[in-house]
Amino acid sequence: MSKRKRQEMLSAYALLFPAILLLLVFMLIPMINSAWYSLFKWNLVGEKKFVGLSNFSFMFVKDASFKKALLNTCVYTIINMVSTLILALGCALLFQKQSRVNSIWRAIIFVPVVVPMTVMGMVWKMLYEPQYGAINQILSAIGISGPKWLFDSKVAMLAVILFNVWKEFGLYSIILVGGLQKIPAELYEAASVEGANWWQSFRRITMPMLRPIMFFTTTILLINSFKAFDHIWVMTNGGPGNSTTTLVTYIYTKVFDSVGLASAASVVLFVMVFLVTMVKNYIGRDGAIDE
Amino acid sequence: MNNAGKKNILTLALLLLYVLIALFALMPFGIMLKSSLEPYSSIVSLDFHFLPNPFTIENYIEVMTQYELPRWFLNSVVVAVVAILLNLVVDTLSAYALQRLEYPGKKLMNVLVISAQIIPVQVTVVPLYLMMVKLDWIDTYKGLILPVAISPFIIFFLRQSFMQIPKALDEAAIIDGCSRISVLWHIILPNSIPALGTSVVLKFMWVWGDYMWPSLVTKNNAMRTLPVGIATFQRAGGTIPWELVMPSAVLSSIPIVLLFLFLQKYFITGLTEGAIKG
Amino acid sequence: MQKKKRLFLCLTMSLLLLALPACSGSSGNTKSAGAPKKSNGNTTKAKSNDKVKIEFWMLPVADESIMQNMVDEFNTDSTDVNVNMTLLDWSSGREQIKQGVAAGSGPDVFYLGAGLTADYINGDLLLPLKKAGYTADDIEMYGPLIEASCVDGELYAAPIVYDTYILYYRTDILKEYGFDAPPSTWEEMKDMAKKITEDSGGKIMGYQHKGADDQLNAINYTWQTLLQQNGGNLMDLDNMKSTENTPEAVEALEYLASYYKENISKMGTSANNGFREGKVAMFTFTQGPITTEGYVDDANMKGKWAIAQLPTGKNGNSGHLDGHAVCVNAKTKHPKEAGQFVKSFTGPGNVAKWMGGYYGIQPYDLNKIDAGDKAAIEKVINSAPELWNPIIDQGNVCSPDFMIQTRYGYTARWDGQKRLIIAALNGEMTPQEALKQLDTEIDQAL
Repeated sequence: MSKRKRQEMLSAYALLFPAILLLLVFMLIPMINSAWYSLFKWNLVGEKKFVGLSNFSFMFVKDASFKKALLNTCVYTIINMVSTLILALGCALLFQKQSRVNSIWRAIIFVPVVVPMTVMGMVWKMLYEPQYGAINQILSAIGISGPKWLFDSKVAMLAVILFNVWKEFGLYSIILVGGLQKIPAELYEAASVEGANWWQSFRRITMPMLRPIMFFTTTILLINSFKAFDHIWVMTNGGPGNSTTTLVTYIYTKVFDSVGLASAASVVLFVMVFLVTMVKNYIGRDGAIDE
Repeated sequence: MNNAGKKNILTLALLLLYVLIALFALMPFGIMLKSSLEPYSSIVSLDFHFLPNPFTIENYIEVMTQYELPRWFLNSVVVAVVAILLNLVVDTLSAYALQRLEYPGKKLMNVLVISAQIIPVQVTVVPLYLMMVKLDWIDTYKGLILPVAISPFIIFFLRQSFMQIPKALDEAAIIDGCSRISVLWHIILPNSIPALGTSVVLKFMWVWGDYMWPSLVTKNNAMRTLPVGIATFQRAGGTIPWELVMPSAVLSSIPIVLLFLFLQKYFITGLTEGAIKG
Repeated sequence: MQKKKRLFLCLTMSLLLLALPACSGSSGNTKSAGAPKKSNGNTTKAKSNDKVKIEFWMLPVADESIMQNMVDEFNTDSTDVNVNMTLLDWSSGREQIKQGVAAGSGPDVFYLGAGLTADYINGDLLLPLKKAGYTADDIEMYGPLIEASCVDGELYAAPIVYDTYILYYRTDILKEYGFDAPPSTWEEMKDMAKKITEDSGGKIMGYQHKGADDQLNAINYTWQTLLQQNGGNLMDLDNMKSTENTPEAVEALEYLASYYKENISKMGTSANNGFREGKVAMFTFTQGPITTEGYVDDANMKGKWAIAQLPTGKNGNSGHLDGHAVCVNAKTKHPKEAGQFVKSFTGPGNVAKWMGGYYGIQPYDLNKIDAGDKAAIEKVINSAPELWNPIIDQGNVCSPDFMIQTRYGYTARWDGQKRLIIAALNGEMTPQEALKQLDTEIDQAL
C-alpha cells in the first residue's frame, strides 16, 4: 500500500474509532447479549438457568398475552400508518407552496412533534378524562356523550393512536412537503394545459412522483409503530386489561422479573424490524443510498 | 354558481381547513397552559371554561419548590447538551470518514453503522441495563449520556448531506496542503450548516423526550430526567395531580420549542432536503 | 510529520471527550432525596466516630417526621449505634432495595413486605432475627400473623403494621335507600348495591370495586380478597403451581364481573372520589383512604360514613392482608447492632406512635407486652373506637395464608392480575380464559 493510502486508512480509522467503540459497546454487543439471554430463565436476583428455546415456545404457543400483544402491535401499526399518512399528505398538499403563511403553518404542525412524548401523553390523558377532560366536555357541549376513552377497552387503542397521529403527523407532513416541492412545476402546467383537473393531476403526477418518498415515509412509520412505547405506557400501562398491550410494553413489564422472556420478545421485535428494513432496501434499491 | 362564487367557497373552505388544522395541533397546548394556571379543583370541575378560573401561579411555585423538578430540569439539560456535543463530534467524524475517504474495510464500516441503526433501542435495553448495574453506572450521568452519545441515523443523515458537497473542493484544498481534518473543518462543515442544525434539533428532541432508557438507568429521584420525573407524579393513590403535571409539562416543553423556533429555518430545510436522499 | 500529529490529536481528543462524562460529576449513588416530595435532608445527628454505623433504607409507611423521630430517639439512647435512615419512594423503592441488597453492597436494615418474597428467601438475603439478637421471648410477643414472616419456623422480618381490607359505606345514602346496616354477605352486598344504583337512576353507584376504578393496582387486593372468601387459593405450595383457575376462582370472578355486566357499577369511576362526593355508596379497600383521602378530616363527610368488617362469602370473610416490615441484611457486618435497632424501631414501645399516624393493625399480642405499652395502645384505640374496632376485628379473622402464597411469582401475579382480571371484567376475556392465562403466566415465572 502506498504511503498516501496508508495515511488515508489511518486517518479514517482514527476518525471512526470513537464511533466504532460506542456502536459496539452500546448497540451491537448488547444486541448479541439479548439474543443470548433469550435462551435463559433469570429474574436478576437468583441464578441463570439455561432453557433453550422454551421462552420462544412459551410466548408463541401458551402465552395468550404475547399473542394479544403481537396482534395489538399490528392493529396499532396499521391504523396509525393509514391515519397519519392521510393527514400528513393532506397537510403537505395544503402547505406545499412557499409562502409566509405556509411557513408559519408548517411550524405550527411541527410543534407537537418536538415536545416530549411522555409529557404530552400525560396531558392527553387529562384531555381524555371521561368526566372532566376537555374532549368529553366539548363533545357534551354539542350533545354527544363521549366514551370512557382510556378506561374503555374498546376505545383505548384508538385513543392512543389518535394521540400518536397528533404527535407525529407534522413530521411526516414536512418530509412530504419536501417531496412535493421537488416535483417540477412544468409537469402540472403541461397537465392543466391539456385540461386535466386537480384529481387527475394528483393521480397521474403527484402520486407517482412521490412514490420514493412515500415509500421512505411508510417504512419509517412502520418501524416506529412497531416500537411504540412511551406514550402507551404513560397513558394506559398496556391496559385496560390487555387492550393496549404491545410488544414493547410486554418487554418492559418483564424486564426486571423474567429477563429471559423480555429478551426473547425483544429478539422478536428485532426480527420484525429487520425484515421490514430488508424489504425496504430490496424494493427501494433503485433509489440507492450508497454513492 | 359563477366562477367568483365558486372561488369564494373554495377559499372559505381552505381557510376553514387551515383553522381546523391549527386548532387540532395547538389546542392541547392551550389546555395544558390553561390548566397549569388554575388549581386542581378547577381542573377537575365539571363545568368547562376556556380561561383559567381562578388564575393562579401556585402550581408552578409548588412544583418547583416542593418537588425535584428543578433537579430533573437540570439533569435533562446536562444530558441533552453533553449528548449533543458528543454526537456532533462523533457523528461528524464518522460521517466524514464514511463518505469522503477511501480505505479497505469501508464497506464493513458502513454495514456496521447500518446494523446499529436497525436495532431498536428496546432490543438492547435488557443487556444495557445489566451492563450499567455491573459497571455501577446506575444513577450516574455517564449511564444516561454515553449510550446516546452516538446516533447512526444522524451519521447517515450527515453522510447524505456531505455527499452534496463537490469532492473537487476537497481535492483543491488537499493539493494546497490541507490535512483531512482541516478539510472537514474548513470546507465540509461550513457547507453543512442546515444539516447540522437539523441534527442538533433532532438529537435534542430525542434525548430531551426520552423516557424508556432514563427510566431504567435512574432509580434515585434526584437523578431522573424530566420525562421520567413527571411520570412519577402518578401516585399510587390513583388520582393524578394535574396541578403538578401541567406546569411541569409547560416547563419541559419550553426549551425544545424555543430551540425549534430558533433553528426552524435550518431544521425544516434540512429535513426536507435530507429526506429526498432518504 | 504534521499529519501524524493531527491524527494523534484527533484520537486523543475523541478519547478525552468520551471520558468527559466520567468526571463531569456523576452524583454517584447518593440516595439522599426520597419520595417525590423533596426531603428536608436527614436530620440524624452525626455522632462520634466510634459508634457503629447502620444504614437503613425505608419506605414512607408513616410520615417521614414520625419515623425520623423514632430513629433519632434510638440514636440518642444508644451508646454504640448510630442509624442513618434513607427514605425511598413507593414507586421504585422496592426495586432499589432489592438491587442494593442483591448486589451485596446494600443497607444493613431495610424495608420489606411482611410476607417476604421468594427472591429474598431463595437468595439467602435475609438474616434470621434470632441471629440479630432476638430471643425466643421477643418472638413470643407477636400475634398469630407473625407466621407470614417466618420460613420453616425461623423469623426473618419484624412487622410494623398490617393492612387489611374493610368495607367503607355512606350511612346517609344507605339510610336514604332503606338500609340501616352495612351488608354482611356477598348476596346482601350485591342486592343493596343493585337497589341503590337502580333506585337512584344510576346517579349513585351502589358499589365500586377498587381496582376497577382509576387505581388499577388495587385490583390485586380486591381480587385476592374475593378469591379467598370463596375458598380459592393462589398457589399450591407443595407442587409450586399457580391455582387461580379453580371452580371457586371462576365463581368468584364471575361474581365480581357481574357487577359490571349488570350495570351495578361502572369501570373507571374513582371509588375514593366518588365516596367523598356521595356518588359511590360503598367500596372495600385498605385503611389507607381514611387518612390519605382525608375522610377523617373532611367536614363535609362528618357523620355520613363508617367502616365495617367485610361481608362474608362461602368461606368466611377473611380478606386481603398485607404488612410492612423491616429486615436485616444477611451480609451485614453488624448483626447485633442492626438487631438492636430493629427491636427498638418496631418494638411495642413505638406501636402507639405508628398507630398515631396510620390506622394499621399492630403485630403484637396485647396480653404479652409491657403493661405501659399496652395502655398506650389502648388509649389510641379508644380515641376512635368506631374506626379501630372494625379494623382490628377484621385483622383477627384474617389468615396469613395468602401472604405466604404471594411470596412466589409475586411480580408475574401482580402484573398478570392487573391485566387479566380487568380483561375479564370488561368482557375482553371470559373468566375462564382470564384465569387460565393467569395461571400460565405465573407458572412460567415460578
